[in-house]
Amino acid sequence: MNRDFQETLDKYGALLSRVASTYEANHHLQQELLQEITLAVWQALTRFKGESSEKTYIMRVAHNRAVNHVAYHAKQPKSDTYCEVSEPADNGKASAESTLQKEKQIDSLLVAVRKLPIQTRQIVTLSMEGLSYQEISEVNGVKANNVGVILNRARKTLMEQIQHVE
Amino acid sequence: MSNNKQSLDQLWQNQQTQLPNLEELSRKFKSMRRKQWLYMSVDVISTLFLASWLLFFRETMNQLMFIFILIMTIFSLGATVHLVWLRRFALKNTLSNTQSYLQGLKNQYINNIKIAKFTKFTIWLSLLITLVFFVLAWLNHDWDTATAIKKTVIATLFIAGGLYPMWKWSNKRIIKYTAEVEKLESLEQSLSSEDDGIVT
Repeated sequence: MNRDFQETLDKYGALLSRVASTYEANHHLQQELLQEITLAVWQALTRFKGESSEKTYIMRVAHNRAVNHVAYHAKQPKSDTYCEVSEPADNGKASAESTLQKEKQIDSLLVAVRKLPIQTRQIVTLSMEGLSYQEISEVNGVKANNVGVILNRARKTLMEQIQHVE
Repeated sequence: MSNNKQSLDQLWQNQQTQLPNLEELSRKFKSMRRKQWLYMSVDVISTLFLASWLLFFRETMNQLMFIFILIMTIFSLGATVHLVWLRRFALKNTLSNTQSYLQGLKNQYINNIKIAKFTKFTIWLSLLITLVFFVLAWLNHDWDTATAIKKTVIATLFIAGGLYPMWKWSNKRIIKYTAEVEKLESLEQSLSSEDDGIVT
């Protein structure tokens, strides 16, 4: 593995993992999908010409690979098969109660995200990764002025789901 | 709304993440590159082999044999160019946006079905061309009847036996990619009929 790609992985590894968790609930299939996504990104980076930001480019390749995974498995992942996600290891500062509460919220967010239609799911997760409307449009092909409308509806749905947990 | 956005973004970014298995990744990447080179080499070498045969053994061939090898060389060259173009298209397609990607993927699978059907057709065609070749050679008095029959039977059995796995493989690909196209069509439908009320 060359150093450039290792640096890219250090920078975007967590982001790629979150793309995998957007589409796949089962822990083992999620790891498999992460491998496939990373491989696709590695291959695609040799063709990166700087026409968009590196992050947008990587997200485009990653989401395409993930959509392919969904098509291959011929069904959208069922959220109830998702059972192995937990909050990152407790850093010792937060209280057990607030950590548990946060864990529940994250689980609930993941379940709600996976219930969204694929296009909406892409838009909302790309937004949560900090991409602009224009960049989101470059990733999934939805016109930039429609992104905002879809995003607002999706965020409202997600907030309702999470507030049920609180 | 701004607070909602912030809290959602924070929650999302705080989820537990996994790391790819770097060792396995490296192995897969190398294996993938090796396969790509192998496929490319096989295509190019088979064309070069036929072209060299034409070039260096032209004088030992009769007219019929020359035309036969020439047709095979042209066909092989065309197939190589087409396959290289398809592989390049597949790689380029992964860089499109998701909507174009799905469309491209569907076209690619439809092409794969066409190639598989074409492969099946060429298997029958190869057998037919071989038979025609032997009949013409016999009519041309290159061989006596007994030798022509013997050579025809051996060649037919040899080609049929050699190409049978390819025929089975093509059949499997037709079934596989037809199912893939159906899955992609249903995914495309779900993308366009999402209840966002936005037509894209």
